[in-house]
Amino acid sequence: MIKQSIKLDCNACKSRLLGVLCNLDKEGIQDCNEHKTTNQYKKGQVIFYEGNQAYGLYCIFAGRVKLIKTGVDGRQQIVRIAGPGDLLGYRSLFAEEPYAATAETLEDATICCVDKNAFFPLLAKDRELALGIIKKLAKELREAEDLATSIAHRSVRERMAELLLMLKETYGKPSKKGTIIDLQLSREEMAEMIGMTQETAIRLLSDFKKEALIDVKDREITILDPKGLVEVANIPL
Amino acid sequence: MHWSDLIQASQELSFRKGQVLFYEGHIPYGLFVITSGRVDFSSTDRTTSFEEQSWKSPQGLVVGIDAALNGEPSCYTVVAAEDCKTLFLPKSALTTHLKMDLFEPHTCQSESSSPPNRH
Repeated sequence: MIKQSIKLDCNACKSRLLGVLCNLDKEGIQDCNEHKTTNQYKKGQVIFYEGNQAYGLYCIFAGRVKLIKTGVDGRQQIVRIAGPGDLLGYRSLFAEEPYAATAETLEDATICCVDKNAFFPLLAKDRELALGIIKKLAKELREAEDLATSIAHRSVRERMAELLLMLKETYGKPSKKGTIIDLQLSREEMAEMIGMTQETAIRLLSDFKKEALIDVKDREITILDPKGLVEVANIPL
Repeated sequence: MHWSDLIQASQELSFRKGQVLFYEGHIPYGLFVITSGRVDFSSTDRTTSFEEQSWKSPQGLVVGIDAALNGEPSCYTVVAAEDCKTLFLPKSALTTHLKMDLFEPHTCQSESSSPPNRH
């Protein structure tokens, strides 16, 4: 069944306020409104493919998206999970390089795309926007370096504990038992995020459950003992 | 407006077999000219929930132009039936060119200071 096209007004968009576009001035918002296209994606649909030339900047209105890189051996690695207010594809746009990862929805999502021919003039005019993006790029570079160090020097057990703590910080919702991670990832996806096999990820989660660090019900994970996880992760203070 | 102007504004995008150019129900971000390989069209019937009505395109086909121009959702999903290359023209470039005076004659002769006589 063909859906009607949806119109989202950047002026009224709460997700915009969550990301770097929060500082856009009135003119910038109007430019975005005129040149953007909004589409609703189902879970598992692809927004753009690794290796293709960047043609637009994507902004997530609702839902979550995973960015996946494929290695030479065909193994996939999730390099980032993006949510409402996050931008996708901007690094490739600025570097004038092909998209460095494939963007695939983790759940039903609404995504806006601003044509690059409209975005670059906006960036040239708006200093605050440009500065916001530079800060975001710097932060992501640091996170990527930390992840590379983590994969190289840490044990699989430490990496899994650190991942659970990061998911708790970003997606955690308090409950009576502990903190529920409000992002349902498959074991394979969790393994892809921290460079291990699915079997290892399943074994580690089972071990953590026996040690009462977490509780697991299908894909729902509840953190029961965050201090215990911090010790396991061996995070330097 | 000449196609050569539009081609200059386009960029090459490659799709491996099985990758999606755009989905049914989406407004495409532009139009695609299939320069090599073939694509498969599919659409879900309005009364049933499974895929049917699938066609394979010839090369050289332009896809997405209707949805790109009228801003309405696409009636079909377009998937690469084999590895293919396309020329992608963003919607903004297409509409910019269409807004230009379509009846402006394209002169290949030496320039003159006054506008060409249309009558």
